Amino acid sequence: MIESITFGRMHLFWPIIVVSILLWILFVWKEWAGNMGPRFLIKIVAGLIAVGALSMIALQPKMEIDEENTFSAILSPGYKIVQRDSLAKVHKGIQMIDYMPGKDLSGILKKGQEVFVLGQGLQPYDLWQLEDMKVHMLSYQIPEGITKIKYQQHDIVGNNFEVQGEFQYMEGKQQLFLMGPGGTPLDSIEQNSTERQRFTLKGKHLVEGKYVYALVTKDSAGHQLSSASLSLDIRAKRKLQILIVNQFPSFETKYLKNFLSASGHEVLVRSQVSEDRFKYEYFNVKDNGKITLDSKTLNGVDLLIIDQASLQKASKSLLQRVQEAIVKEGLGLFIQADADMYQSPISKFRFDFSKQEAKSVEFDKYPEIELSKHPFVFIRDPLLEVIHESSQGIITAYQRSGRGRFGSTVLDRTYELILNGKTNVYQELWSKLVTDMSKRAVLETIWKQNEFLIYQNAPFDFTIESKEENPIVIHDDGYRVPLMRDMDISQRWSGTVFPSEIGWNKLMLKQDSTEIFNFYVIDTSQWTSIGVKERIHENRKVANQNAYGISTAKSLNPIRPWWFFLLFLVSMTYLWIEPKL
Amino acid sequence: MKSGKDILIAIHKKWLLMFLLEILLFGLGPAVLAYALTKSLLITAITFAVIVLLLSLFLKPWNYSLRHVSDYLDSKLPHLEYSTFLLIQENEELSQLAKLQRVRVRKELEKALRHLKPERNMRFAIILAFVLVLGAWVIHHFDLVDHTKISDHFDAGQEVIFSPVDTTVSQKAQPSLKNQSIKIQYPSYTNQAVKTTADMNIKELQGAIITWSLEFDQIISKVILQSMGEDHDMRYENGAYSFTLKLTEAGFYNFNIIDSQGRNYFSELYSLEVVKDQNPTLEVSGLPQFTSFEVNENKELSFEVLVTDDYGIQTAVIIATVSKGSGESVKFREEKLGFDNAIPQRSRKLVLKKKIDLDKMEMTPGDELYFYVEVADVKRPDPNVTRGETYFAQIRDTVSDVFEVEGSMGVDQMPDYFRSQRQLIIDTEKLIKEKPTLSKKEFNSKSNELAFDQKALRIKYGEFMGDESTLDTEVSQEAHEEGEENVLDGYEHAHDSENESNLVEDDHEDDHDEDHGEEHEEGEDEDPLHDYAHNHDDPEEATLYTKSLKAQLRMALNEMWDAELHLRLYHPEQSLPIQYRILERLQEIKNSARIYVHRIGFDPPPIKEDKRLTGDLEEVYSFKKTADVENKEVYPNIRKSAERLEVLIQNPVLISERDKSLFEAAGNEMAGLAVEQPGKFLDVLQGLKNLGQGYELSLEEMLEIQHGLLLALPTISPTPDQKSSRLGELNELFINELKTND
Repeated sequence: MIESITFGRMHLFWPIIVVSILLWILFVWKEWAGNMGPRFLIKIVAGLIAVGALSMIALQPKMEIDEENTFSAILSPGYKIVQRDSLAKVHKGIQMIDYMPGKDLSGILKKGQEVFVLGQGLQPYDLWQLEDMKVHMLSYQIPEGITKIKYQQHDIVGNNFEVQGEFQYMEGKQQLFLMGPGGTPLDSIEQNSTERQRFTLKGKHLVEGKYVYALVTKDSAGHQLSSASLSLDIRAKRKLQILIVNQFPSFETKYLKNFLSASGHEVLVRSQVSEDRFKYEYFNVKDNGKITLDSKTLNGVDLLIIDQASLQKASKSLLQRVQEAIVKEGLGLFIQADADMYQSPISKFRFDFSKQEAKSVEFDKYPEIELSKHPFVFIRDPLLEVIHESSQGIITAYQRSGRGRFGSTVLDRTYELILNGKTNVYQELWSKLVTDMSKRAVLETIWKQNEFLIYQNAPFDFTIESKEENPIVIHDDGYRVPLMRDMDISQRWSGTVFPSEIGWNKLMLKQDSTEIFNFYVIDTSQWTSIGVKERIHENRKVANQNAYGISTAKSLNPIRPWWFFLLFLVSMTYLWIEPKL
Repeated sequence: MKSGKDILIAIHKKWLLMFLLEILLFGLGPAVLAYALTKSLLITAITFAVIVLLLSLFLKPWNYSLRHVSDYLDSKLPHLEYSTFLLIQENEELSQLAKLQRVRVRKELEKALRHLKPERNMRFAIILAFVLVLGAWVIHHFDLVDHTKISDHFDAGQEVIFSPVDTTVSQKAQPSLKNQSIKIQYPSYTNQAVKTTADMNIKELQGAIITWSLEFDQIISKVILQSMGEDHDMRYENGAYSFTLKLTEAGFYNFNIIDSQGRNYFSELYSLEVVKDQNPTLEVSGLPQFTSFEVNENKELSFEVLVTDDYGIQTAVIIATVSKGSGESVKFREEKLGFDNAIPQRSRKLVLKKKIDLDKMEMTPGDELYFYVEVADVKRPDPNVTRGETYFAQIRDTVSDVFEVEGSMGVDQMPDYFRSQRQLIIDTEKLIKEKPTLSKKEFNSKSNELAFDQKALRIKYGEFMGDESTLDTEVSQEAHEEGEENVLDGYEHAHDSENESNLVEDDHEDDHDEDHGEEHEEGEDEDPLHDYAHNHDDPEEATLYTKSLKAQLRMALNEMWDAELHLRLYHPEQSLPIQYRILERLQEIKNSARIYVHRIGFDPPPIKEDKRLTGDLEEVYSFKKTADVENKEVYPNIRKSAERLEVLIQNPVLISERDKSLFEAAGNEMAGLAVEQPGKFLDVLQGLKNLGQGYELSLEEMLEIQHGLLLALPTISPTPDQKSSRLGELNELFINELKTND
């Protein structure tokens, strides 16, 4: 009980107590008449009460008391009047609050109170205001239209891309179109479910640049009902430098180097033709004389393709150099396997294989295309990262080693694909392999957007990871964005902007103007169904968290000084009357 | 003596004729001129007819009567004393005096006749006609008239409209065309007249010379014809801007004019389409693809060829090849044959006939004739040539299976016989193997059969050596013998003594000589020099084989005798080694022939024996190859334009100079596509041109252009890319941690 009492003038507590005690001692000394009779004792007590009451009046004590429950209802957009009226009927005197995004509710709502949220709910950025309250989210029908969307916003030219999503049943037979730039229809689906329907729309990026695709809904007559933007930032492919080392010229290498060089990558080929005699080939790169496998060369290339025979013959120091380049520089090492690889692998770069009868493999992705392979497959290992896999097992895989990686494939004579006219399959297989195996381009800065859809005038949170000691982020309007450093990772910062312009916006790092992050801002009329669904979801989350466990509200009520005064008056009356009796 | 009336009638006739001639002359001159100006026969004919008709109506030649002539004479010749009419009248109607007067008048008329001038003077008509025809010739010869001037009106739809880049230019101030024309001169070989049109979309024959001519209603400082990324200044001449271009490839063009105030105007895009001179087509009828004749048949092929071409056929020939012989000794002879009917100049459709007599082609049985028809059109300088299908004709060979020794390749058909020696060995081995399972009779019979085969083989080889072929008779005899119970007797007996001696492997030559000595006795008797002289008459002796080959084959033949003998004696085991030897010898002969064939085709470089297999790499060098194989991005400007347009669509701003040149470059890339698929890309090209010239376009138009640009881009095949990652503190820590635990 005592714990729940505090004082309004806490800062005067001790002076008042001291003064009161002194006052009381003075009173005791004045009353002291040599004996401790009952009258004396009663007087002292009365004095104590009087002084105590006085000091209490000065200290203004407060007492915590269980408060009576109060109710509020937040009427967010789309609320149903029936719900509001029923609430009003059940909870007499319920407080009705009209919600607008960004509204400050702190003055209106009280901690621990019970809040009913009607309609679509609060904007996620306003939800903090409902902390420590018991929140009830009243049911709200998920709106029709597209309620979920997912796609790669930052992509690469030539990539196939997919837009996945979900839509809630829409009235009438509707079609969904994915429109590329210039209103080029890329893909479409038709609504065939009366409830939720998932969809996947596909396309291919043909040109680099910042584009706005659109997801358009049309009715069965072909009239456009709605259109929503999909922003895409498409970059060109990066060029790799690839070194191929062979003990002897082979068809596999011949076709591979043709493919790689035709794709625009820099390809260096060193194939031995006789003892100490080599054939050096330079594709898309300046002829720099002999290709030696020194550290400089190895550190400079992104991928080293070497046949097992060369690896077997390699000196210890060369193997050491290769390993160092892998570990320290992130070099990718791809070993062209032969029978030796399975029987007597190099210990530094070894994989475990299991023997398998089949000498050909068929991938699910390319049905009816048989690829030759060695009669082995990789044994699954937690350290192994898979590039190609079929029902027969792991076909191509690599293992990380430091910054780099080394890997191999059990595929054999893949050039047969080209000879059989399946050039596209060949290209896809090797593109994936080379992309996955090659040295990674090191980014100085990584930008991350925390929300998928960025609305005009709404907060947009982003994270940046940078090597800079104190990164300064500038919005293209010219103002600087305040950043907050992550508690645990010192290179990670986060910030929030309120973009005012619809369309492409960008954030730049002041220290390095090449570090630009493009993001697309849409107006609030777009993707409403997604926004609403997300909002409902967020609100429900808060409601679920805050539904139980919050104790009933208590408030500190000052004890009315009237009572102390009465006490003082009584004890004073006694002290006044007592000598007269 | 002519009567007075006759004289008068003669004069009337003559004058009437001249009158009509005059009218025609009046019509002729203008008609010729009209033709020179318009090159239109219709207009010429109409001009002629109208003038003649009008003049006729006006002058009324049908009213030109005898009476009129007499009146005229009266008025002109006072000597006639106004009495000419008396000549016309009938004798009976006249009074005595009148008759006298008539005689007088007749005399006077006869006198005056010499000096009489016709009533109508043709000189004017002749001069006019001459002048006009001369004028027409001058116009035609010097090509003075631009034919558009006659067809001055061009359709409103064809009119070239210029729109200003600067939209503030008032409608009135804009220059417009007074006249536009395109003159098309076809290549001379087409023999087509010069054509003039006002339609700016050109679709003409390749090689045609196009001349544009534009006349403006105001002073223009410059007119540029822009075509496929090139600017051509148009020449100003006689009030019009003109430019001449030879049509070689398809494309697009537009005009850009700069008026006197330096303002820029652009026209729409017009197409330049090239029509290629088509190859001639030909159709052969009345001939199966393959014809074959018996020797005694009438070996004649007759067929018709229908040849068509768009501008005329120049030549049509039959290319015939006769092949003689077969295999390696085949010989070809090529001949060019004409058609039976002549080819008229520049005819566009022709039916040509041809009869080929194989006998006249000097073809013998077994020969084959291949022929096809080749037609060339009149195109210059490189005529279009069409080749027809190839047809075959063959004279059946009645004796094609006889072995022939042709030319130097005596070994041509040898593989068959080698095989049979090998087969014999295989069969012999089989027989030896099966010996235990076979009854004696069977075994003997089989051995004998093999011996027969060996004999047949020997006789065939004997043919190579010039031995007389006794195969047929011997075979039949043999067959007969085989049918008998005792197969051995006859044969054993014949060769008994030889067999004895040949058990030892020497002296085959002697035996054989002995054997053949008998056969050739007669011949040798006649020519005792045979052994000493070099006899060229004997083909075997002369050229067939070199000495060593011959000797080898002779030895093989001798051994065949032995092999046969042992088989006849039912000792296949003893025969086998000999057969092997035979095979070896034959193999050698075959190989020597092979080397000979080799020498014709390939002369291997000499091998330095001292260098061989020494592993010396001194002169072997490492080598380098550098190549830039990066496939150049297709349509780089179209890509960039698509990207730039996206920016302009998102955020409309003014088009900068850089954008303009970018769009222009993209337009040039697009033009090629637009030529192929104008329906799909022509509008896009027009849009790009407009952008390139700085027009402000609406959002929809820009979207459309961008859409078109993206349609033009080919799909991208998958290529590798470099992934990216950031080595943050955390990653570094993780990697280091991994390393320590490695």
